[in-house]
Amino acid sequence: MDMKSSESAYYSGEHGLYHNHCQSMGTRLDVIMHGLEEEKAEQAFEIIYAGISDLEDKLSHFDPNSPISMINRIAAKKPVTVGEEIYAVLELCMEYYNKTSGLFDISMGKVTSENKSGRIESSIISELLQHTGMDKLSLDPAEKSVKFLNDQVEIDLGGFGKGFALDGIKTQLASMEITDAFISFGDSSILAIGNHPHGKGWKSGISHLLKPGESIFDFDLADESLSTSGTGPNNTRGGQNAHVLHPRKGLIDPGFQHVSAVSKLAIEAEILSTALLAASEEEKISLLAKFPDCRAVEIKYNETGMPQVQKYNIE
Amino acid sequence: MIDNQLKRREFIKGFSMLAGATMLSSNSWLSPLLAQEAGSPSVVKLGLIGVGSRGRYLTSHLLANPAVEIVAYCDNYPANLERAGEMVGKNAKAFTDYTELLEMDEIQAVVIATPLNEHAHITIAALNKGKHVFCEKSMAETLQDSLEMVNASRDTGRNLQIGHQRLFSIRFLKGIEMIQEGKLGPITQIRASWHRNSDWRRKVPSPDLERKINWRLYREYSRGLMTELASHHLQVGNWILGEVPHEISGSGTINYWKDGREVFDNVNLIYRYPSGTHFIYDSVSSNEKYGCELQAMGPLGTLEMETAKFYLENPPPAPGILQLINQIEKNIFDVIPIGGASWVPEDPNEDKGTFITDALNSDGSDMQMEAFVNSVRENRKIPGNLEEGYNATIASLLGDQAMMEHRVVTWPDEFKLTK
Repeated sequence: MDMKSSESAYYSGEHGLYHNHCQSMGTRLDVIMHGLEEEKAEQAFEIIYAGISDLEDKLSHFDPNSPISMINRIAAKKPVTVGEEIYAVLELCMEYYNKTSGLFDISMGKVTSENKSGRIESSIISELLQHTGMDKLSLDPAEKSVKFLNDQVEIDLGGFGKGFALDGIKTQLASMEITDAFISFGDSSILAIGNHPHGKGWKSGISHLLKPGESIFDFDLADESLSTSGTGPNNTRGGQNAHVLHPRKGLIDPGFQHVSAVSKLAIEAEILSTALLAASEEEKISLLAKFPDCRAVEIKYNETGMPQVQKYNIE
Repeated sequence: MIDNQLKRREFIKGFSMLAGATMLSSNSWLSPLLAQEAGSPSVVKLGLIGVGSRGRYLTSHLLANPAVEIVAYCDNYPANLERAGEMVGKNAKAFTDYTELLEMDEIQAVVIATPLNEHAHITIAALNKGKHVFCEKSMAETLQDSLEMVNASRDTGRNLQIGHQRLFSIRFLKGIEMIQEGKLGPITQIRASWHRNSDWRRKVPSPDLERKINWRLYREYSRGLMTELASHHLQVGNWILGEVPHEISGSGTINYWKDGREVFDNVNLIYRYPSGTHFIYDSVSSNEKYGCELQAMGPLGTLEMETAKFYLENPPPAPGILQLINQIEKNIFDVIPIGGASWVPEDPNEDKGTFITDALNSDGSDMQMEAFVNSVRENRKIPGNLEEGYNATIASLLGDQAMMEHRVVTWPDEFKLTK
């Protein structure tokens, strides 16, 4: 048993309630399970922890030793052969790039980081984006290799990793026959399996960003994932709303808003919430049409701070 | 006048917000500050020895105290004497020879802020004349002189307080309390640095005054960065760990200010404590980006004590998660507000820390002078303070020795303080 996780674990015998947390993917992962013996719950947490640590090692573009960093260094010069798992991730990202008509795009890592660090003028961003997009990334299924068509392409799995990890956790829990769990990556990516000990499913509210503790819209999650992206007060730079990088249009200002999406697949919830934030009204409608089983809400705040809720695929 | 009363009340208020009883038992030098105020306090008569910039800074705190009368002051540099005279007024007598000042029977206590090489003999002479003494850190240039200063205080029963103002600073007291409560887990490393980007020189009116004015740069008068700066952080390190280091290694060079100085312009040291914890000290004179800071580290968190900031290794759970746990335990099934875009996933390690106190204005100098004045009035020693000052001085001198002799030095048994 890892010392770090045993120190932070909480177990209450009455409900067989187990809570633990760890740091991963730049945020905090909270795991709540119930109806389990303490030992089994701890084992399950250890397995989850090992899984996401391994995944983070592979997918991080901050860690210079990760396979993704290696690809980012070399793939503009020559094809890079990658492992089965990384190749599958890239293929999946390609599939969703096509399905979202390019609104979900992992190839903008360089532009994103240069924009954030203020190294480039915002005016040239849309020009740089002419050279990005997953059509500038060539995958070879026979060689399991990847090649960038120019040196502006850089992979950033930031809007993908947590969803992918939650889907992995869902599989792990199923194989351990754990049927009820609530798992949260820093509040913004949530997996809800089975039931709350005192009710059906898990009730999750979307927080009012100006009135913490208040919920604006409630989702009943039944073996589903919820992902939220936004330009809230915590996501601002120097008091200004953070602009959102639209894969083709460049920096856009969607105003002070957040978007939450629910799907059976955590990765789809993640992709949708990211894509919806940047999408125009027409793009939103065509996007949701391609994900008929997903539902979403968009919350915008007016000048007086009143939230306005727009529902998608919700009666 | 009122300012000082207010400050004191603020300090006491801040102090009482800490776990008072526990803090007092482990930080007993605070006791003079908590003395009951009954009527107006009697006036304490003080003499000042050494009224250069530091001496005048201490004087400014003394002058803010209505129950202090400065009756005499002494310095052998005329410009200092003149400036101090303007501060303390015409009624105080000026001296150029400290022995004459010590002859004044009405003086109950002296405040010594001379160059380091003058501390020991003046302190011992004053104690032997029955005066209480406040002496700036570090205590002396040698281990033997430092020990003799302690013995003189013990033999005469007079208070000898050493100027380590962090012992009276709310942010350090609060930090120590958090460490003692286990908020960081066991302390596994302390890193301290004091970086400046300056030559540390004062203007010299004529070349023959160079060594007198810039005494900090010459080994005849000082041990440079170690005795003038490092001793502060060494004191805090000992305070945190509740022990003194037993093995010291280090290296120092003059790599930038090759201006005739004899003391190192950059030093790097490792102090190894019996518990196995290392205190790593680092001070340069040619870059100030990382400034002055002391970081206490444990498996649960990091405390930056100069800026009073605390960083958790694992941030606390979101309120929604806590709410969910509470609901389950109370058999409630309800909505929890959770789905928020509450963080920036692409920016790891953006934790800016949380301030552990809002008492950030004072460095503790005001309260340390107040504590000294009160102890003089009560005619008693301040418990614990001299030991802190002595151990910090010995640690800074042993660090200098390790660097000068290029070897690992151990704390000699004969210089370990008995209770």
